[in-house]
Amino acid sequence: MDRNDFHAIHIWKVLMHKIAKLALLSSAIAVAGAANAARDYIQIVGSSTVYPFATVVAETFGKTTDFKTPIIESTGSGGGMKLFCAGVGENHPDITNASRRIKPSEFEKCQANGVTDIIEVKVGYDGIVLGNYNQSEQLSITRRDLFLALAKHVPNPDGGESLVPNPYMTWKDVNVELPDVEIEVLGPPPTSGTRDAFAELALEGGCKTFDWVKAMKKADKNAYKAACHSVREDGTYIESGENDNLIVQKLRENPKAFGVFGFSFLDQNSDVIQGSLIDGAAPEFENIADGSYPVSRPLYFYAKKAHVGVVPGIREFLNAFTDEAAWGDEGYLTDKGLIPMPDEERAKFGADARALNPMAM
Amino acid sequence: MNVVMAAGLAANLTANPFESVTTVTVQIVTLLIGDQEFDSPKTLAAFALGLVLFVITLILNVIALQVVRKYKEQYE
Amino acid sequence: MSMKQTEIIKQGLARRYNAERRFRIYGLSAIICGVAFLVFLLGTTFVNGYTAFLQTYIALDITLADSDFDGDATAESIARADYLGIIKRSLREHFPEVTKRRDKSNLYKLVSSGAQYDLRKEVAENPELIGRTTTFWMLADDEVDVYMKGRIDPAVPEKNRRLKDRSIAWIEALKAQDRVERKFNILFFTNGDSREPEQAGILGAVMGSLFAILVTMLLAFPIGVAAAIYLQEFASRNRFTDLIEVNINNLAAVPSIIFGLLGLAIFLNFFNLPRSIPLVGGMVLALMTLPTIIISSRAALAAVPPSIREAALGVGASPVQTVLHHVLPLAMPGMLTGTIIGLAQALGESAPLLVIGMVAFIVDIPGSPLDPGTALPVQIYLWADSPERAFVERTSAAIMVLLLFLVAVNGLIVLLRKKFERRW
Repeated sequence: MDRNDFHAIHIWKVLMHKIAKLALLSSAIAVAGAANAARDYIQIVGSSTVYPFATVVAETFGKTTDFKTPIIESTGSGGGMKLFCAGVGENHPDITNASRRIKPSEFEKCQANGVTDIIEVKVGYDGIVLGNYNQSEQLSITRRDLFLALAKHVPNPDGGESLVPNPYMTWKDVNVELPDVEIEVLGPPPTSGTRDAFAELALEGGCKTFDWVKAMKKADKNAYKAACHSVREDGTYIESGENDNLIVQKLRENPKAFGVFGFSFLDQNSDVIQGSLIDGAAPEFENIADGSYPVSRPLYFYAKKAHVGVVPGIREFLNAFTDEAAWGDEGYLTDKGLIPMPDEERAKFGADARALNPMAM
Repeated sequence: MNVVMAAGLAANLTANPFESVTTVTVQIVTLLIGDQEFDSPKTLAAFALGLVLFVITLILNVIALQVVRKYKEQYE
Repeated sequence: MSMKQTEIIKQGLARRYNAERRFRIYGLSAIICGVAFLVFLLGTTFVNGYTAFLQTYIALDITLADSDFDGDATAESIARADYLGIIKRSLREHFPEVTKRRDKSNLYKLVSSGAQYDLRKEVAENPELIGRTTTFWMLADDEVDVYMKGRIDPAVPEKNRRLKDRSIAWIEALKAQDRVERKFNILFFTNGDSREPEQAGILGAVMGSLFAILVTMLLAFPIGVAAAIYLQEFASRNRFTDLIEVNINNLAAVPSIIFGLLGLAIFLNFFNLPRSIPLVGGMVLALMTLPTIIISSRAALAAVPPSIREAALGVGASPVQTVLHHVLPLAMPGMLTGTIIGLAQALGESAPLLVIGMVAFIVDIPGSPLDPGTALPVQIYLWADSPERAFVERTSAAIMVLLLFLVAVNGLIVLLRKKFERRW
């Protein structure tokens, strides 16, 4: 051991003391901070379809007011609802976005956990698109064929009124006019509102065309729902997570595959993907707005009235989102692909939001 | 993590390396970025996948340790 | 030795030389292969990303009329003036032939939506500009920027393009008047995340990463070093310690997402810490780095020769004094390099952070480890998923920044190691 080693020992001791003090101090701060921190930013969760619109409003809100920019996480409509309905308090999100209306069971759950006053705001419409790479052939399909291609159980192809597991492997098997390509569809998982809406509008729309299945609705509602909303699980429908952008990228890599996603993503990626015609209608802005494109659904967000005043800025954020400059016909959200509601609906929902009127199921 | 962007999402059981398949990590990330409720089957499935991954790495490490012990030279 | 034996030996020698040459060639080709992949990766990243350091600006003659400020230039009227309207007016004056509603809306889209806030700041700092016409450089929209950098092909049919032919004509007209310029993109380094690519920056992610690493360092280093000292010097060798060693080795190899799951279960669900804050991210990364630090510290301690320990005991030091005063300082360089390796690894991790929620859209720059923030690798992941073309180059640029930082950290490791290495 020489003088350098003594020096090293000394430095080492000093260093360890400093680190120990720093560690103690920061852990004290952290604990105190975590215990006392009143959350001063709005926390939003929910649908990945509403995410592009909510983020733009949030950013504008942060820039034009003194409030902190809201934090928005894309968890899917189902996941967002579960987080939202878990309770009232700082640990729970203030607002949840949803690409479908809140279900009665979710509403019950909210009420049971103390989330009693929920403000429902419809923000606009969005179409659901069956898209593929725009260098591939554009598909024109009816809802009936879509149901036959994607449902878990389909009416027996030999006729008769029974449901069999889906045997069709190529689009041509479903309908000879469709291309002879293997069925491969990338779509959202069951927690996604897009998936719920797709099942309800496209699949159910198709399965209703079979009269005997439609009759089942009155006879046995659960069997009807199981028949019309179940998606096949044999690998032809691939669940691709909440991230619509990932689906778009995978379509570019795989020109034979199709994807199910919201119209806003088609709009923002129109140089890479194209939408299929469903029941003869093309997925275009005007067609979705006037209802001729059959697979379109409203987008919502839900806010907790109990958090207004506790977390700063919620009321102002609601006002910003329901402002004509945001969701109106010329608003900045239409640039991002949102289909605005008709004037009367906007007036109604806007008034409810500004007055913080709680919803009734 | 890198494979989330590169690997596929198709849950195929095949020995052909040219087929589109998925990996455990991709599935965990896909399951967990969405739903956050704690006792839903999806979250539990993600944890189960994590446990399987952990056990597999543990077995590999134990084998490695045995091999190292067997051939290790003791100096000094 | 007979002739035949010499022949045999010579042949064997030739075979051996050939085998050795082949072996050298294999090694060399393996290295070349590795280097080729590296060059390819860095090359594509650089080619995609270097343009992100330049940003297109458009020079517009903006008239700040007194009527825009209610006749009186007070702080309040400056704050509330309709700058977007002022910019739109200027664009209309510049292209008076544009009259249809659709065309006007496309014309306004040439300038970024954030330009109005920049204008407000300019006017607030220089109120004497009110009542005059001045040329301001306005931030261009990301589509214009992408076109200026040559990434939009005008030959592609219009319906497959985001930027329409008329917009391209306007941009060319402005270019002919020298009103379009590319300047250094300072916003990339001073802004947080944004939905508009031209305003998006990495500062928020960098601060989040720094806070997370700080927390990781403060937690993992003391605990790791202490654990290593105990396991290496004081613990007895029995099956229990063997089990611990196996588990630590295992944890060092386990995919990092497992730690994310652990963080989710314990920190978020059990302790109810807020989501998306660098503190929780740092704690998860600390759990991940701990095995690496323990293993490298143990190796550093084991490398100190027993003669040092025996000498210390010989002059009357207690076991604890031996370790703390004699062995530890000598093992310190190795421990430090191991720690920095672990930290460099933690800096590049994104999987565990995704699981604990640091994957939200966060615009504000975090001011402390308790403010919501994201980390640089997660930011790259988020941007890689965005549809706007301009995010592609920003993703590559952010990757370059991250790589540069990691190279710097690794360089530091090598430097420290060379400086403090001791040869026994």
